[in-house]
Amino acid sequence: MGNRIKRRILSFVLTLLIVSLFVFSSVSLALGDSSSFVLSDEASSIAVEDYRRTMGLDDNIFIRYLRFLGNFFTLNWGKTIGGEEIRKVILDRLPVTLSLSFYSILFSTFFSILIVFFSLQKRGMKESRIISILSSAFLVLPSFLTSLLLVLIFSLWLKLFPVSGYSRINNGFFMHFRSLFLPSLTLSLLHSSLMMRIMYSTLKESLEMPYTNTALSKGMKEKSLVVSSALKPSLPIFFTLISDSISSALGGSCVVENVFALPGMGSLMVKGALERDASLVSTCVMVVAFLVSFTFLVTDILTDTVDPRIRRSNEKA
Amino acid sequence: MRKLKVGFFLFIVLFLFSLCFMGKGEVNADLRVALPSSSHIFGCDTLGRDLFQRVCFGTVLSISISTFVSTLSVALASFSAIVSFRNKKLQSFLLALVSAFKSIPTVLVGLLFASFFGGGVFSVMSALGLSCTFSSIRVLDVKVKEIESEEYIVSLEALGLKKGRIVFFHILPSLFPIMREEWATVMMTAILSESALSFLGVGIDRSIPTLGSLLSEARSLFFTKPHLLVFPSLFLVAIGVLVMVIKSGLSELDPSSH
Repeated sequence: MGNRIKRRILSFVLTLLIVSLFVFSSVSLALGDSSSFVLSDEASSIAVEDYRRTMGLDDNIFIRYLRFLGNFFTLNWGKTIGGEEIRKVILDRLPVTLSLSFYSILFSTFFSILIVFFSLQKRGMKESRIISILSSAFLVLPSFLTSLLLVLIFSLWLKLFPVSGYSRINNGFFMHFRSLFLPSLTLSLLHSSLMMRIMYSTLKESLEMPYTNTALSKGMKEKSLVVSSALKPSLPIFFTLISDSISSALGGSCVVENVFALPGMGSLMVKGALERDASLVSTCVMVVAFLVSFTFLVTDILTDTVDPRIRRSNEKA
Repeated sequence: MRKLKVGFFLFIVLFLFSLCFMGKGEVNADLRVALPSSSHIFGCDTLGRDLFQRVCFGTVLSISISTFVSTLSVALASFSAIVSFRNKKLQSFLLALVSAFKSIPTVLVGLLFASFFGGGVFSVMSALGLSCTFSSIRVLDVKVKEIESEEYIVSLEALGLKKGRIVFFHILPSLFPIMREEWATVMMTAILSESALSFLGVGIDRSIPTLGSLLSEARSLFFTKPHLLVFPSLFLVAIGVLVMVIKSGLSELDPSSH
């Protein structure tokens, strides 16, 4: 088992290296030499050389890459075009996006479990159709449309939630949750599409296994059957689904935060992209990639340790 | 089969219909945010341009970009999956790349490219293509690995057939069902990501009407002039639904799924 965890961590490091290489090479390919747009056209060659030396641009590309990596891991992320510290801006906005993703995953897990259990209670063509229709509908609806619809229903007609804006958790949990409710609902519809479908097929598969029949013949009730003997073997897949949702939540937050005017990472990146602030956006992308691959690492290790089937096959190997 | 035919037929009809009526519309100050009428069936936008023409333009753009991106990325992905047949080193290299790109959501690649190249059709398509290629490689590579250990392939190798022959006549045909489905999946991702990027204003040039940019213009007028929002979103959802129908039709074609 230790071997497997070591391999996972190795691949995590490799992933980060590849992402950083991709970001670094596209930054240096696209921007080339920042001296051309930082200094004016009339700058003398001496000034250009001076600038290049102070910025370390005349070093070997490999050394520059190492410096880029070093700067990233020591949180020395430089400044935005507006002159703010990138580290401060990101650390300021990260909690908003993280709590948004957290709530959205909570919601989507709740929905999917509710709908899947409902359809498993009455198995038949009709119920499996409900799943496929719902999940296709959630997939087809773009998140900006869903959010506008939800605003129309919940904010304007029912007047339950604010149209936009964010309330910090210091202002009370209820206000905080209320401000994030609609955005996280929008995001949750996005990933509950996949979650619902996979949960349904996995649970159905394990309900058709011989051990379920044995349990049934011993007199176990149908309801407890789903929970006790079908849910347990399919738990590892839920971990994977949740980690997939984190990636989609972080991607989807760009749109949702923009619509609801939330001060999170997504709206920061959109602002950076509009201002063509390459260093800000690339740092954000690196942070998001780090978060996503870290969750993948954690869920992989969790699945390995929790699932006795995988654990045993690892011990054999 | 019927589903697939109907889906494809309607998809092509939608494309050709939009192609016939597409246009950027002319600015007309008198017709600003005009309601639908007999001369402008979808009404007019904030500058008095005919919304119907603009929606058709966006539909054509959305369909052509997503078709191009999905065809290209599935082709590239199948090529790399096939080349990696019986090549452990290449497979693990691809796997590393795939897991790296899996950790960057597609929209973020678009944002990254927009901040470097300042948006535009090329930047959107390359960002979507890059991200989608790697996600397709993941799907196709798994399938190739599965096929690799099948008995019929092992027996062909034992017969002494050349690698190229096995790949083209035996592996490629068994990859087709997955390739078709992946094509539709990537199409869906491309449509949604492209419209999201245009909605955010970092996608295709502002002067070109896309469904996403039409929706983002309509957003502030949503409650007073809902027609500006309803028509583009109807077309966007229609494209999405048709792609979903095509996808489920394609998966019914696959004999191994029955």
